[in-house]
Amino acid sequence: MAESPQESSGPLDVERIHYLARLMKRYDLSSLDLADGPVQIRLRRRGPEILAMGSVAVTQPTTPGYAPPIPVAASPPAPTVQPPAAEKGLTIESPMVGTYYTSRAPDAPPLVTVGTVVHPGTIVCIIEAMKVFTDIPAGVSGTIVEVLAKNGQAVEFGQPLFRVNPS
Amino acid sequence: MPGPDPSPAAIEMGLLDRLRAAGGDYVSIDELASGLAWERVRVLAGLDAMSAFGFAIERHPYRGAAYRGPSSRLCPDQIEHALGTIRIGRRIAVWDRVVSTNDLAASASGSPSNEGLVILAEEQAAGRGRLGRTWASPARSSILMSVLLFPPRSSPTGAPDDVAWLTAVAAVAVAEVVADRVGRASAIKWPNDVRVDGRKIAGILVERPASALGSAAVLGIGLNVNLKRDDFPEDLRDRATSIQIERSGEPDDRSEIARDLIRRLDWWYEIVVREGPDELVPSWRDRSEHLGQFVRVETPEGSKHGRLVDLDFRTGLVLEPSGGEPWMRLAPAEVLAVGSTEGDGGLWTSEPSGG
Repeated sequence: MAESPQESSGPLDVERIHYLARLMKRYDLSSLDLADGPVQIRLRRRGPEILAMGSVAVTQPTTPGYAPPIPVAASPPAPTVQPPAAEKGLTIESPMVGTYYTSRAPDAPPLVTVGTVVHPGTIVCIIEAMKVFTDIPAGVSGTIVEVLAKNGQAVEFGQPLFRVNPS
Repeated sequence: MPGPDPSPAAIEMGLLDRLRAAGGDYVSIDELASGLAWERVRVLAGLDAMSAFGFAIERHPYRGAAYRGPSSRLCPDQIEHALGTIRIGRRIAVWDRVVSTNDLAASASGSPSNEGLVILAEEQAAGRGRLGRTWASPARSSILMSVLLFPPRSSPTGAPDDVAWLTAVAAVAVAEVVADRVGRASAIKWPNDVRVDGRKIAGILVERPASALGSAAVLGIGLNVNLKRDDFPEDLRDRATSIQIERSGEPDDRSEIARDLIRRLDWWYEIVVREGPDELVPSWRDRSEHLGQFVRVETPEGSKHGRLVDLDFRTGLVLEPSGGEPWMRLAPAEVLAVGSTEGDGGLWTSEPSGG
Protein backbone atom coordinates (compact mmCIF):
# COMPACT_ATOMS: atom_id res chain seq x y z
CA MET A 1 0.00 0.00 0.00
CA ALA A 2 1.67 3.15 -1.17
CA GLU A 3 -0.94 5.57 0.03
CA SER A 4 -0.74 6.93 3.49
CA PRO A 5 -3.64 7.46 5.83
CA GLN A 6 -5.64 10.52 4.87
CA GLU A 7 -5.60 13.42 7.22
CA SER A 8 -9.21 14.12 7.88
CA SER A 9 -8.84 17.75 8.71
CA GLY A 10 -11.78 19.08 6.74
CA PRO A 11 -14.77 20.76 8.27
CA LEU A 12 -16.00 17.37 9.47
CA ASP A 13 -13.22 16.09 11.63
CA VAL A 14 -14.65 12.81 12.81
CA GLU A 15 -11.79 12.14 15.11
CA ARG A 16 -12.19 15.42 16.90
CA ILE A 17 -15.91 14.99 17.22
CA HIS A 18 -15.34 11.60 18.73
CA TYR A 19 -12.90 13.06 21.15
CA LEU A 20 -15.30 15.79 22.19
CA ALA A 21 -18.15 13.34 22.53
CA ARG A 22 -16.02 11.26 24.83
CA LEU A 23 -15.05 14.28 26.87
CA MET A 24 -18.70 15.17 27.28
CA LYS A 25 -19.52 11.65 28.31
CA ARG A 26 -16.72 11.46 30.81
CA TYR A 27 -17.54 14.72 32.54
CA ASP A 28 -21.25 14.35 32.05
CA LEU A 29 -21.49 17.56 30.05
CA SER A 30 -24.79 18.66 28.64
CA SER A 31 -23.41 21.26 26.31
CA LEU A 32 -20.13 22.48 25.02
CA ASP A 33 -19.41 25.47 22.81
CA LEU A 34 -16.12 25.94 21.12
CA ALA A 35 -14.73 28.59 18.88
CA ASP A 36 -11.30 28.65 17.46
CA GLY A 37 -10.37 32.27 16.69
CA PRO A 38 -9.61 34.06 19.92
CA VAL A 39 -10.24 30.84 21.79
CA GLN A 40 -13.58 30.59 23.45
CA ILE A 41 -14.72 27.58 25.39
CA ARG A 42 -17.88 27.00 27.34
CA LEU A 43 -18.76 23.75 29.01
CA ARG A 44 -21.98 22.99 30.86
CA ARG A 45 -22.72 20.08 33.06
CA ARG A 46 -26.10 18.53 33.71
CA GLY A 47 -27.69 19.63 36.94
CA PRO A 48 -27.10 22.72 38.96
CA GLU A 49 -23.38 22.79 39.26
CA ILE A 50 -21.26 24.12 36.51
CA LEU A 51 -18.16 22.23 35.86
CA ALA A 52 -16.08 24.69 34.01
CA MET A 53 -16.65 27.78 32.08
CA GLY A 54 -14.38 30.29 30.63
CA SER A 55 -13.22 32.32 27.78
CA VAL A 56 -9.62 32.63 26.95
CA ALA A 57 -8.34 35.27 24.67
CA VAL A 58 -5.14 34.07 23.25
CA THR A 59 -3.84 36.83 21.13
CA GLN A 60 -5.84 39.99 21.11
CA PRO A 61 -8.01 41.01 23.99
CA THR A 62 -11.66 40.45 23.43
CA THR A 63 -13.36 42.97 21.28
CA PRO A 64 -15.12 45.68 23.26
CA GLY A 65 -18.53 44.38 22.42
CA TYR A 66 -17.76 40.90 23.47
CA ALA A 67 -19.64 39.77 26.51
CA PRO A 68 -18.02 37.03 28.48
CA PRO A 69 -20.21 33.99 28.85
CA ILE A 70 -22.42 34.23 31.84
CA PRO A 71 -22.36 31.33 34.21
CA VAL A 72 -25.58 32.13 35.99
CA ALA A 73 -27.98 30.56 33.56
CA ALA A 74 -27.88 27.00 34.72
CA SER A 75 -27.53 27.46 38.42
CA PRO A 76 -30.75 27.69 40.37
CA PRO A 77 -29.77 28.79 43.81
CA ALA A 78 -31.66 26.19 45.75
CA PRO A 79 -30.36 22.82 46.89
CA THR A 80 -26.76 23.47 47.59
CA VAL A 81 -24.91 20.68 45.99
CA GLN A 82 -21.91 19.69 48.00
CA PRO A 83 -18.78 20.08 46.05
CA PRO A 84 -16.90 16.82 46.01
CA ALA A 85 -15.31 16.18 49.35
CA ALA A 86 -11.91 17.52 50.22
CA GLU A 87 -12.04 20.77 48.35
CA LYS A 88 -8.45 21.36 49.24
CA GLY A 89 -7.49 17.74 48.98
CA LEU A 90 -5.02 16.07 46.74
CA THR A 91 -5.76 14.10 43.66
CA ILE A 92 -4.02 11.08 42.24
CA GLU A 93 -3.87 11.42 38.50
CA SER A 94 -3.36 8.84 35.83
CA PRO A 95 0.23 8.90 34.59
CA MET A 96 -0.78 7.29 31.33
CA VAL A 97 -3.49 6.56 28.81
CA GLY A 98 -5.19 3.23 29.28
CA THR A 99 -7.90 1.23 30.96
CA TYR A 100 -8.38 1.66 34.67
CA TYR A 101 -8.73 -1.38 36.92
CA THR A 102 -9.45 -1.30 40.63
CA SER A 103 -7.88 -4.70 41.25
CA ARG A 104 -5.39 -7.18 39.89
CA ALA A 105 -7.96 -9.73 38.87
CA PRO A 106 -11.69 -9.63 38.20
CA ASP A 107 -12.46 -11.58 41.34
CA ALA A 108 -10.01 -9.74 43.59
CA PRO A 109 -11.13 -6.99 45.96
CA PRO A 110 -10.27 -3.41 45.00
CA LEU A 111 -6.78 -2.30 45.93
CA VAL A 112 -8.17 0.75 47.72
CA THR A 113 -11.60 2.09 48.59
CA VAL A 114 -12.93 5.23 50.25
CA GLY A 115 -11.34 5.37 53.68
CA THR A 116 -8.18 3.51 52.75
CA VAL A 117 -5.07 5.14 54.16
CA VAL A 118 -2.41 5.38 51.48
CA HIS A 119 1.29 6.13 51.42
CA PRO A 120 3.28 7.24 48.40
CA GLY A 121 4.17 3.64 47.58
CA THR A 122 0.69 2.17 48.04
CA ILE A 123 -0.61 0.70 44.79
CA VAL A 124 -4.01 2.30 44.24
CA CYS A 125 -4.99 0.84 40.87
CA ILE A 126 -3.79 -0.81 37.69
CA ILE A 127 -3.78 0.87 34.28
CA GLU A 128 -3.65 -1.31 31.21
CA ALA A 129 -2.49 -0.33 27.77
CA MET A 130 -1.86 -2.93 25.07
CA LYS A 131 -1.94 -5.71 27.66
CA VAL A 132 0.73 -4.02 29.70
CA PHE A 133 -0.64 -3.74 33.23
CA THR A 134 1.02 -0.99 35.21
CA ASP A 135 0.82 -0.64 38.98
CA ILE A 136 -0.05 2.92 39.91
CA PRO A 137 1.36 4.09 43.25
CA ALA A 138 -0.47 6.77 45.23
CA GLY A 139 2.49 9.14 45.22
CA VAL A 140 0.92 10.96 48.19
CA SER A 141 0.00 10.20 51.78
CA GLY A 142 -3.52 10.48 53.09
CA THR A 143 -6.95 8.93 53.07
CA ILE A 144 -8.92 8.15 49.94
CA VAL A 145 -12.10 10.19 50.07
CA GLU A 146 -13.41 9.65 46.56
CA VAL A 147 -12.84 7.21 43.75
CA LEU A 148 -13.32 9.09 40.51
CA ALA A 149 -13.00 6.37 37.89
CA LYS A 150 -14.95 3.20 37.30
CA ASN A 151 -13.44 -0.24 36.91
CA GLY A 152 -12.78 -0.91 33.24
CA GLN A 153 -13.05 2.74 32.24
CA ALA A 154 -10.73 4.34 29.70
CA VAL A 155 -8.63 7.08 31.28
CA GLU A 156 -6.47 9.80 29.82
CA PHE A 157 -3.09 11.09 30.82
CA GLY A 158 -3.49 13.40 33.82
CA GLN A 159 -7.06 12.41 34.51
CA PRO A 160 -7.86 12.53 38.25
CA LEU A 161 -8.49 9.05 39.61
CA PHE A 162 -8.80 9.60 43.35
CA ARG A 163 -9.32 12.41 45.80
CA VAL A 164 -7.18 12.14 48.86
CA ASN A 165 -7.36 13.96 52.18
CA PRO A 166 -3.77 14.67 53.01
CA SER A 167 -2.60 13.27 56.28
CA MET B 1 4.30 -22.30 47.81
CA PRO B 2 6.26 -25.33 46.67
CA GLY B 3 9.93 -24.76 46.07
CA PRO B 4 11.74 -25.03 42.79
CA ASP B 5 11.55 -28.40 41.17
CA PRO B 6 13.61 -30.81 43.26
CA SER B 7 16.16 -33.29 41.92
CA PRO B 8 17.95 -31.02 39.52
CA ALA B 9 19.85 -33.93 38.03
CA ALA B 10 22.71 -32.51 36.03
CA ILE B 11 22.22 -33.50 32.44
CA GLU B 12 25.45 -33.92 30.50
CA MET B 13 24.73 -31.83 27.44
CA GLY B 14 27.72 -33.16 25.50
CA LEU B 15 26.36 -36.65 25.84
CA LEU B 16 22.84 -35.59 24.97
CA ASP B 17 24.06 -33.76 21.86
CA ARG B 18 25.91 -36.85 20.64
CA LEU B 19 22.91 -39.05 21.09
CA ARG B 20 20.61 -36.61 19.39
CA ALA B 21 23.02 -36.15 16.51
CA ALA B 22 22.70 -39.86 15.77
CA GLY B 23 19.09 -39.24 14.80
CA GLY B 24 17.65 -42.12 16.80
CA ASP B 25 20.31 -44.67 15.89
CA TYR B 26 22.20 -46.55 18.55
CA VAL B 27 25.59 -45.23 19.56
CA SER B 28 27.86 -47.65 21.41
CA ILE B 29 29.04 -46.83 24.90
CA ASP B 30 32.65 -47.12 23.73
CA GLU B 31 32.06 -44.69 20.93
CA LEU B 32 30.41 -42.21 23.29
CA ALA B 33 33.23 -42.62 25.80
CA SER B 34 36.02 -42.13 23.29
CA GLY B 35 34.23 -39.27 21.55
CA LEU B 36 33.87 -37.38 24.82
CA ALA B 37 37.18 -38.62 26.24
CA TRP B 38 35.29 -39.95 29.24
CA GLU B 39 35.49 -43.14 31.23
CA ARG B 40 32.76 -45.63 30.30
CA VAL B 41 31.40 -45.36 33.82
CA ARG B 42 30.76 -41.65 33.39
CA VAL B 43 28.88 -42.29 30.17
CA LEU B 44 26.73 -44.89 31.90
CA ALA B 45 26.04 -42.57 34.82
CA GLY B 46 25.15 -39.81 32.39
CA LEU B 47 22.69 -42.06 30.57
CA ASP B 48 21.16 -43.06 33.89
CA ALA B 49 20.70 -39.43 34.85
CA MET B 50 18.97 -38.71 31.55
CA SER B 51 16.61 -41.65 31.93
CA ALA B 52 15.90 -40.63 35.51
CA PHE B 53 15.04 -37.13 34.34
CA GLY B 54 12.60 -38.53 31.83
CA PHE B 55 14.48 -38.48 28.55
CA ALA B 56 13.52 -41.42 26.38
CA ILE B 57 16.85 -43.19 26.13
CA GLU B 58 16.77 -46.73 24.81
CA ARG B 59 19.55 -48.98 26.03
CA HIS B 60 20.81 -52.15 24.44
CA PRO B 61 23.42 -54.40 26.02
CA TYR B 62 25.48 -54.60 22.82
CA ARG B 63 24.45 -51.69 20.66
CA GLY B 64 24.61 -48.95 23.29
CA ALA B 65 22.07 -46.17 23.65
CA ALA B 66 19.64 -44.36 21.37
CA TYR B 67 17.81 -41.08 21.82
CA ARG B 68 14.08 -41.55 21.45
CA GLY B 69 12.74 -38.24 22.64
CA PRO B 70 12.83 -35.39 25.12
CA SER B 71 11.82 -35.51 28.74
CA SER B 72 8.29 -34.42 29.44
CA ARG B 73 9.85 -32.14 32.05
CA LEU B 74 11.54 -28.86 31.32
CA CYS B 75 15.26 -29.43 31.54
CA PRO B 76 17.19 -26.41 32.88
CA ASP B 77 20.51 -27.75 31.61
CA GLN B 78 19.13 -28.08 28.12
CA ILE B 79 17.56 -24.62 28.22
CA GLU B 80 20.77 -22.97 29.43
CA HIS B 81 23.06 -24.92 27.14
CA ALA B 82 24.96 -22.51 24.85
CA LEU B 83 22.19 -19.97 25.37
CA GLY B 84 24.38 -17.06 24.34
CA THR B 85 22.00 -14.28 25.35
CA ILE B 86 22.98 -10.83 26.58
CA ARG B 87 20.40 -10.21 29.25
CA ILE B 88 17.45 -12.55 29.27
CA GLY B 89 18.16 -15.93 30.81
CA ARG B 90 21.13 -14.93 32.93
CA ARG B 91 19.26 -16.79 35.60
CA ILE B 92 16.67 -19.44 34.88
CA ALA B 93 14.47 -21.09 37.47
CA VAL B 94 12.13 -23.94 36.65
CA TRP B 95 9.36 -24.50 39.15
CA ASP B 96 7.04 -27.41 39.36
CA ARG B 97 3.84 -25.72 40.38
CA VAL B 98 3.33 -22.05 41.09
CA VAL B 99 0.43 -19.72 41.62
CA SER B 100 1.69 -17.32 39.00
CA THR B 101 5.06 -17.08 37.27
CA ASN B 102 4.49 -13.34 36.85
CA ASP B 103 4.10 -12.90 40.61
CA LEU B 104 7.30 -14.83 41.24
CA ALA B 105 9.24 -12.76 38.75
CA ALA B 106 7.76 -9.56 40.16
CA SER B 107 8.81 -10.56 43.66
CA ALA B 108 12.40 -10.50 42.44
CA SER B 109 12.12 -6.95 41.13
CA GLY B 110 13.78 -5.43 44.19
CA SER B 111 17.27 -6.24 43.03
CA PRO B 112 18.89 -5.10 39.79
CA SER B 113 20.93 -8.29 39.70
CA ASN B 114 17.75 -10.15 38.89
CA GLU B 115 17.36 -8.48 35.53
CA GLY B 116 16.83 -11.10 32.86
CA LEU B 117 15.54 -13.65 35.35
CA VAL B 118 13.41 -16.26 33.62
CA ILE B 119 10.81 -18.14 35.65
CA LEU B 120 9.33 -21.24 34.10
CA ALA B 121 6.67 -23.43 35.63
CA GLU B 122 5.32 -26.84 34.74
CA GLU B 123 1.96 -25.87 36.09
CA GLN B 124 0.30 -22.66 37.14
CA ALA B 125 -2.65 -22.31 39.44
CA ALA B 126 -3.68 -18.77 38.64
CA GLY B 127 -2.49 -17.59 35.28
CA ARG B 128 -3.95 -14.21 34.63
CA GLY B 129 -6.59 -13.42 32.13
CA ARG B 130 -8.46 -10.22 32.47
CA LEU B 131 -11.89 -11.28 31.42
CA GLY B 132 -12.28 -13.64 34.29
CA ARG B 133 -11.82 -16.64 32.08
CA THR B 134 -9.27 -18.92 33.52
CA TRP B 135 -8.31 -22.25 32.23
CA ALA B 136 -5.30 -24.06 33.55
CA SER B 137 -3.39 -26.12 31.04
CA PRO B 138 -2.35 -29.60 32.19
CA ALA B 139 1.02 -29.93 33.92
CA ARG B 140 4.01 -30.20 31.58
CA SER B 141 2.01 -29.28 28.52
CA SER B 142 2.91 -25.66 27.95
CA ILE B 143 5.55 -23.02 28.22
CA LEU B 144 4.56 -20.78 31.12
CA MET B 145 7.29 -18.21 31.27
CA SER B 146 7.88 -14.87 32.93
CA VAL B 147 10.85 -12.63 32.33
CA LEU B 148 11.91 -9.84 34.66
CA LEU B 149 13.32 -6.73 33.01
CA PHE B 150 14.12 -3.16 33.93
CA PRO B 151 13.33 -1.28 30.76
CA PRO B 152 14.82 2.18 30.39
CA ARG B 153 12.83 4.77 32.28
CA SER B 154 11.99 6.87 29.29
CA SER B 155 11.49 5.18 26.01
CA PRO B 156 13.44 6.35 22.98
CA THR B 157 10.34 8.29 21.97
CA GLY B 158 10.33 10.03 25.33
CA ALA B 159 6.73 9.19 26.08
CA PRO B 160 6.30 8.02 29.65
CA ASP B 161 3.46 5.70 28.78
CA ASP B 162 5.05 4.20 25.73
CA VAL B 163 5.00 0.64 26.95
CA ALA B 164 3.21 -1.19 24.16
CA TRP B 165 6.54 -2.28 22.76
CA LEU B 166 6.96 -4.63 25.71
CA THR B 167 3.96 -6.60 24.53
CA ALA B 168 5.15 -6.33 20.95
CA VAL B 169 8.62 -7.70 21.76
CA ALA B 170 7.04 -10.77 23.31
CA ALA B 171 4.49 -11.14 20.51
CA VAL B 172 7.10 -11.07 17.76
CA ALA B 173 9.42 -13.47 19.58
CA VAL B 174 6.61 -15.94 20.26
CA ALA B 175 5.24 -15.69 16.72
CA GLU B 176 8.69 -16.43 15.30
CA VAL B 177 9.19 -19.44 17.54
CA VAL B 178 5.75 -20.80 16.67
CA ALA B 179 6.26 -20.38 12.93
CA ASP B 180 9.61 -22.10 13.22
CA ARG B 181 8.25 -25.09 15.13
CA VAL B 182 5.12 -25.67 13.09
CA GLY B 183 6.58 -24.72 9.73
CA ARG B 184 3.72 -22.40 8.91
CA ALA B 185 2.81 -18.78 9.32
CA SER B 186 1.73 -17.51 12.69
CA ALA B 187 -0.02 -14.23 13.27
CA ILE B 188 -0.22 -11.63 16.00
CA LYS B 189 -3.76 -10.74 16.87
CA TRP B 190 -4.04 -7.25 18.28
CA PRO B 191 -2.59 -6.72 20.74
CA ASN B 192 -1.32 -9.79 22.54
CA ASP B 193 -2.32 -13.12 21.09
CA VAL B 194 -0.41 -15.33 18.72
CA ARG B 195 -2.53 -17.49 16.47
CA VAL B 196 -2.21 -20.10 13.78
CA ASP B 197 -5.00 -20.19 11.22
CA GLY B 198 -7.17 -18.08 13.47
CA ARG B 199 -6.66 -20.26 16.52
CA LYS B 200 -4.95 -18.98 19.59
CA ILE B 201 -1.70 -20.71 20.45
CA ALA B 202 -0.17 -18.21 22.87
CA GLY B 203 -1.09 -15.28 25.03
CA ILE B 204 1.04 -12.51 26.44
CA LEU B 205 0.52 -10.35 29.48
CA VAL B 206 2.98 -7.77 30.69
CA GLU B 207 2.93 -6.36 34.17
CA ARG B 208 4.82 -3.38 35.48
CA PRO B 209 5.03 -3.85 39.23
CA ALA B 210 5.97 -0.84 41.29
CA SER B 211 9.59 -1.44 42.14
CA ALA B 212 12.00 0.38 44.36
CA LEU B 213 14.23 0.50 41.31
CA GLY B 214 11.76 2.43 39.25
CA SER B 215 10.70 0.65 36.15
CA ALA B 216 10.36 -3.09 36.40
CA ALA B 217 8.47 -5.08 33.82
CA VAL B 218 7.48 -8.71 33.79
CA LEU B 219 6.80 -10.30 30.42
CA GLY B 220 4.41 -13.19 30.91
CA ILE B 221 3.99 -15.71 28.15
CA GLY B 222 1.76 -18.75 27.92
CA LEU B 223 2.40 -20.95 24.90
CA ASN B 224 0.44 -24.14 24.23
CA VAL B 225 2.88 -26.88 23.27
CA ASN B 226 1.99 -30.50 23.94
CA LEU B 227 -1.75 -30.36 24.10
CA LYS B 228 -4.12 -32.47 22.08
CA ARG B 229 -7.48 -31.22 20.97
CA ASP B 230 -9.18 -33.13 23.77
CA ASP B 231 -7.01 -31.43 26.36
CA PHE B 232 -8.84 -28.15 25.74
CA PRO B 233 -12.22 -27.47 27.29
CA GLU B 234 -14.91 -28.07 24.75
CA ASP B 235 -15.76 -24.44 24.16
CA LEU B 236 -12.17 -23.64 23.27
CA ARG B 237 -11.47 -26.51 20.89
CA ASP B 238 -12.25 -24.58 17.76
CA ARG B 239 -10.52 -21.44 18.91
CA ALA B 240 -7.35 -22.69 20.51
CA THR B 241 -4.51 -24.81 19.25
CA SER B 242 -1.08 -26.04 20.25
CA ILE B 243 2.25 -26.77 18.66
CA GLN B 244 1.52 -30.47 18.88
CA ILE B 245 -1.79 -30.08 17.07
CA GLU B 246 -0.15 -27.97 14.38
CA ARG B 247 2.57 -30.61 13.97
CA SER B 248 -0.06 -33.22 13.09
CA GLY B 249 -0.04 -34.63 16.59
CA GLU B 250 3.69 -34.97 17.04
CA PRO B 251 4.79 -33.71 20.47
CA ASP B 252 7.61 -31.21 20.59
CA ASP B 253 10.58 -30.63 22.86
CA ARG B 254 9.52 -27.96 25.34
CA SER B 255 13.01 -27.31 26.66
CA GLU B 256 14.17 -26.62 23.12
CA ILE B 257 11.25 -24.27 22.55
CA ALA B 258 11.89 -22.45 25.84
CA ARG B 259 15.52 -21.98 24.86
CA ASP B 260 14.61 -20.69 21.44
CA LEU B 261 12.05 -18.32 22.93
CA ILE B 262 14.52 -16.88 25.44
CA ARG B 263 16.99 -16.23 22.65
CA ARG B 264 14.48 -14.43 20.47
CA LEU B 265 13.15 -12.37 23.36
CA ASP B 266 16.69 -11.33 24.17
CA TRP B 267 17.42 -10.47 20.56
CA TRP B 268 14.39 -8.23 20.13
CA TYR B 269 14.64 -6.67 23.57
CA GLU B 270 18.22 -5.61 22.96
CA ILE B 271 17.31 -4.14 19.60
CA VAL B 272 14.54 -2.02 21.08
CA VAL B 273 16.63 -0.89 24.03
CA ARG B 274 19.49 0.05 21.72
CA GLU B 275 17.66 1.45 18.73
CA GLY B 276 14.11 2.13 19.83
CA PRO B 277 10.73 0.55 19.14
CA ASP B 278 10.79 1.70 15.49
CA GLU B 279 13.01 -1.26 14.75
CA LEU B 280 10.33 -3.63 15.89
CA VAL B 281 7.42 -2.11 13.99
CA PRO B 282 7.94 -3.78 10.59
CA SER B 283 8.26 -7.30 12.01
CA TRP B 284 5.27 -6.76 14.22
CA ARG B 285 3.17 -5.25 11.45
CA ASP B 286 4.04 -7.93 8.91
CA ARG B 287 2.89 -10.63 11.30
CA SER B 288 -0.30 -8.86 12.23
CA GLU B 289 -3.46 -10.77 11.57
CA HIS B 290 -6.28 -8.96 9.75
CA LEU B 291 -4.02 -6.44 8.00
CA GLY B 292 -5.81 -5.56 4.78
CA GLN B 293 -8.94 -7.44 5.81
CA PHE B 294 -12.39 -6.29 6.79
CA VAL B 295 -12.61 -6.12 10.54
CA ARG B 296 -14.81 -5.14 13.39
CA VAL B 297 -13.10 -3.07 16.04
CA GLU B 298 -14.66 -2.85 19.47
CA THR B 299 -14.21 0.54 21.10
CA PRO B 300 -15.69 2.12 24.21
CA GLU B 301 -18.09 3.90 21.83
CA GLY B 302 -19.24 0.77 20.06
CA SER B 303 -18.14 -1.26 17.05
CA LYS B 304 -16.40 0.22 14.04
CA HIS B 305 -16.30 -1.61 10.78
CA GLY B 306 -13.96 -1.26 7.88
CA ARG B 307 -10.88 -2.49 6.15
CA LEU B 308 -7.78 -2.54 8.33
CA VAL B 309 -5.46 -0.36 6.29
CA ASP B 310 -2.59 -0.09 8.73
CA LEU B 311 -1.66 -0.74 12.30
CA ASP B 312 1.15 0.17 14.62
CA PHE B 313 1.42 -0.85 18.25
CA ARG B 314 2.20 2.73 19.21
CA THR B 315 -0.23 4.77 17.16
CA GLY B 316 -3.08 2.33 16.70
CA LEU B 317 -5.23 1.26 13.79
CA VAL B 318 -6.28 2.90 10.57
CA LEU B 319 -9.65 1.79 9.27
CA GLU B 320 -11.16 2.45 5.88
CA PRO B 321 -14.89 2.45 6.46
CA SER B 322 -16.94 1.00 3.65
CA GLY B 323 -19.00 3.68 2.02
CA GLY B 324 -16.30 6.15 1.18
CA GLU B 325 -16.08 7.90 4.52
CA PRO B 326 -12.66 9.23 5.46
CA TRP B 327 -10.21 6.87 7.04
CA MET B 328 -10.47 6.56 10.74
CA ARG B 329 -7.58 6.41 13.13
CA LEU B 330 -8.14 4.58 16.41
CA ALA B 331 -5.60 5.04 19.17
CA PRO B 332 -4.49 1.91 21.01
CA ALA B 333 -6.41 2.89 24.14
CA GLU B 334 -9.62 3.02 22.10
CA VAL B 335 -9.22 -0.47 20.71
CA LEU B 336 -10.75 -3.08 22.95
CA ALA B 337 -10.67 -5.92 20.45
CA VAL B 338 -10.20 -6.54 16.76
CA GLY B 339 -11.94 -9.36 14.93
CA SER B 340 -12.60 -10.46 11.43
CA THR B 341 -16.08 -9.60 10.20
CA GLU B 342 -16.18 -12.98 8.52
CA GLY B 343 -17.00 -14.30 12.00
CA ASP B 344 -14.13 -16.32 13.30
CA GLY B 345 -15.25 -15.81 16.85
CA GLY B 346 -12.09 -13.82 17.13
CA LEU B 347 -13.20 -11.38 19.74
CA TRP B 348 -12.40 -13.44 22.75
CA THR B 349 -9.24 -12.21 24.26
CA SER B 350 -7.16 -13.57 26.96
CA GLU B 351 -6.63 -17.10 27.92
CA PRO B 352 -4.76 -19.32 28.29
CA SER B 353 -2.55 -16.45 29.13
CA GLY B 354 0.89 -16.21 30.47
CA GLY B 355 1.32 -14.50 33.70
